[in-house]
Amino acid sequence: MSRNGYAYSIIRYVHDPISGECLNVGVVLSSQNGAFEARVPSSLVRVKNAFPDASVNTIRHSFESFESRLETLLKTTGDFAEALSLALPPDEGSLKASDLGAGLTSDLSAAADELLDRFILRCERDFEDAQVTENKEYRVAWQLGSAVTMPDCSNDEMYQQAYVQLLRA
Amino acid sequence: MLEIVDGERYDSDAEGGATVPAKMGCVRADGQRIDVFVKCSWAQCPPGGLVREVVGCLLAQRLSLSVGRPVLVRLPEELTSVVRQIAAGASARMQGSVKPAFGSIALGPGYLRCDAIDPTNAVLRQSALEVWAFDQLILNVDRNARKPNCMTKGNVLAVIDHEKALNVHMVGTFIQPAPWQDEWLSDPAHLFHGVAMGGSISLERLHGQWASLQPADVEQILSAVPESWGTGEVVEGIRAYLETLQQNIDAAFRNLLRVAA
Repeated sequence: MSRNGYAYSIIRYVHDPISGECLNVGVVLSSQNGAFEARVPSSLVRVKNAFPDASVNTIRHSFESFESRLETLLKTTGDFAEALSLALPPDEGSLKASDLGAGLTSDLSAAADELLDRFILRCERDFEDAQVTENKEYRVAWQLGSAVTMPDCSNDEMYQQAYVQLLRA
Repeated sequence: MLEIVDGERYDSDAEGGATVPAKMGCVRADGQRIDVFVKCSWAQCPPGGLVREVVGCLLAQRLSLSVGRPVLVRLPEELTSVVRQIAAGASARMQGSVKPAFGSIALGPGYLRCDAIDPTNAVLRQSALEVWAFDQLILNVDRNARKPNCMTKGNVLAVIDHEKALNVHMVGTFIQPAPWQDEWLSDPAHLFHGVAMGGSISLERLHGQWASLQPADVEQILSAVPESWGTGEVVEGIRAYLETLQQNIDAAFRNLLRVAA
């Protein structure tokens, strides 16, 4: 399946322009052939949790208005970066666009869903530190269990077994 | 063999590193999407640096130190072309790099740059000690106060960036005595030099793991370096060093304990 290039930007809500604290609230993207997608999560509860006096309705309305402007400008200019800078110019407003990223996709709508998941929804879920190459727990347990003699472990699996033995001891 | 993933999305350049890794979304063979810091070969990071990354990461992994999981990253021309429109520098690095590029899977959120450890945390202290010893033996001069190349979260201390390790050119000469030689001294600029000095330390676990390495283990690590990188000479130099280190590993650990005493 052929893939097209696309550019994207993450839209951030800056609650207090003086402190600059912000949260990602949406993504916008456009393919090289001019197709356009935007996503905002169905719930902005984490914005409310982080900033209790934020108006979620205002944020949502503001995003939708920006989205509409961007889509129109994209048709006029044909340039995503330019349209984005016009639709959301740098100012003291509370929505900010990130620098552009880019990717390849055969389905722009699916790419939009993936970006929404990666940059916004996933932050609401627990991450597992699965990418650190070892399960530190068993090694940590061994290090703390100074009374336990370290067995001859030449790989992670052996460490895990040693950890189980440690727990049983 | 290292896992090979496909670059699919360029997010931005990573901040702070001289080698300017790219933060990228990549796809595994099974379709899973992962975040990867992709390091290309270019003027600030020659192919030999990527070899050192591969070997340093895999060796750390084999010794049960926490490290970002290394991968190789295919960078399709069509992606390089798209990235050119928004980040010319990143695109040029991707274009000019050896293929596949080197990548390190992102550790995940919540990791902070480790400038120092809490000395009352016994777990972190032990991990820092082992990182110190590891770096002395792989000749890593790139983990210091200015560039910790070390991330922490809770009780985990994860090391990153090994492109300046295993520079074996002058090792064994009077300029740079090998870690097993009597004249050897540790690097006082190392981030965890203070942790290692002046206290009772135990390197029993790391020593045991290192001593258990077999020639086949070293061979397996070195064979992960892609032939397409054309770095055979660098690999051979590292192979010779690691083999000699292995033959002298007890002396090297005695030296570590000596300088720390």
